[in-house]
Amino acid sequence: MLTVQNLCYTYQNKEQHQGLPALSDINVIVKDGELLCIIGPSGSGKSTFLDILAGFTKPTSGSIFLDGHQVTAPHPERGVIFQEPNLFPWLTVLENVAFGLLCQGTLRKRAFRIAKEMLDLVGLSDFAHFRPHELSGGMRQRVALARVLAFDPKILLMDEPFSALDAQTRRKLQDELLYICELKRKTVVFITHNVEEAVYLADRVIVFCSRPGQVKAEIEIDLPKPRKLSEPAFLHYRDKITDLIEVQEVLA
Amino acid sequence: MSIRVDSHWTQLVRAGFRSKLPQLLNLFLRRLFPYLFLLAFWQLSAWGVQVKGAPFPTPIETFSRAAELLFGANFLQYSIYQHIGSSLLRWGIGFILAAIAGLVLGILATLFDHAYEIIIPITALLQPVPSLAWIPLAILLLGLGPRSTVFIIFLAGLFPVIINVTTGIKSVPLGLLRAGQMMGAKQTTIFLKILLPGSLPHLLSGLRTALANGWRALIAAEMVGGSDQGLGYAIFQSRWSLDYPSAFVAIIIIAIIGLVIERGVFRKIEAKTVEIWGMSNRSGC
Repeated sequence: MLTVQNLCYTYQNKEQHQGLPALSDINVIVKDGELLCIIGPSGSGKSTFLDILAGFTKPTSGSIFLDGHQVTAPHPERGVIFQEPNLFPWLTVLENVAFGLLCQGTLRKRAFRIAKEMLDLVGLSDFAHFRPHELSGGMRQRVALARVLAFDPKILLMDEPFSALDAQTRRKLQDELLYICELKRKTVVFITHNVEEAVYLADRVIVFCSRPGQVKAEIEIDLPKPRKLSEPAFLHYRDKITDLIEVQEVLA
Repeated sequence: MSIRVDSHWTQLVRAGFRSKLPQLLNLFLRRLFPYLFLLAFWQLSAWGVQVKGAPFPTPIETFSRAAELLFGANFLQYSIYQHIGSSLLRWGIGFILAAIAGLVLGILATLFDHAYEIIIPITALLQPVPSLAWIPLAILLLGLGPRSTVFIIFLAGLFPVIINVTTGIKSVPLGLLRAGQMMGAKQTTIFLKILLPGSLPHLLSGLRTALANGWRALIAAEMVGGSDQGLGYAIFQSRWSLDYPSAFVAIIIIAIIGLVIERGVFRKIEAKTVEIWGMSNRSGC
């Protein structure tokens, strides 16, 4: 369980003494096995929020606990999938996937065996010895997913991971993510600005509002998966969340 | 362009040489053409100058002198191999010292902010100074002789290496560092497995500049700095003996050595690393 308590973050600006508040008093609980989507207009600080959960950025105040331990720095218990694949171009696909395990002291043989399994899971076993630049955008994001799954983190933090992909590839990767979450019982925090994506994936959606980022609404998506984009209940959720976001954009 | 020509080669090999002989000849001439053009230009200017009565060496004179020298004739008391050897040795020592010191200083500058604040302004200040301007300083510090020459080569290479190492390390995307951190990489792993390979394209171009600068500085420094052998020394001295063909031979050797190092060493390293990694936008030529 991931608990976020009274989290605030202020951009420190050298000229202004006050700084610009980006996140204000955020309280969120992510249950084990849950897929939580965070959606909000640009400028709502949702990526900053994920950076803080990952430990890349220190909050101005407030705290985060994962299973009772305070989060202070990056750690492999929290696997991050970025907007960019951020694979190492000098390593092969297989070496990229094994990298985390090797860092954590797993023996080479075992690390590469697990890496192969993960590539199998994301359907890229044939590309094990390719370099990242030889793959398509969708394949690279699959490798990014595989390398995080390889070291079996407690929680996956995903920062608009499919936003740079074309619609068809994105849909495929969404389905694969749902399948993998189901299979591995993963807890996921998924940032997106795409309402349809949020309703399609999430067990629960949190809507951020902007300047400063705050939790505006929490919506349980009570629909069985896999969901159909055209069913009335889906459209109902989609419109409801779209309305929540649009009201703010008028204000902003 | 060489990629296209090379694939041409392989096609020809597959098709069998004999049937493709005219094409092969054509390709050969195309590759050779720039050099033939240069030779023609040289011959024409030699004739042009000789009309005025100056002993300008023609290609034929130069190549026959080259053959003599390569078969061991003495040139200013030493064989051409001794001249080449002593130049290469100074160049190699100066370059290796510059590479090591540049790497160490560049890495220090990226690791520690205080080091950065000292090293980078000094580098920025001294880097534009032409290497030869250091000759008086070198002579004052180390006296006339090969040690000064090595020092000049060292300075010629040091600053480009420092600059390229720091820009290289700073150019590694933040996303890759964060990816390493979230996978549990320790500081040393991040440095060795992410920052170093990530900065290799810049590092290679820094070393390449250092080597080329050093080679140029070497020849000039030998002309000034109190050596009694070396290619630069030999070229400069030949003006007293009016042995211009030998000087031309030395110039050709200098050009060839530069080309061999560039093609034979740096291209090979690049082809094995940054090109396979998709980190270079070099497309062959």
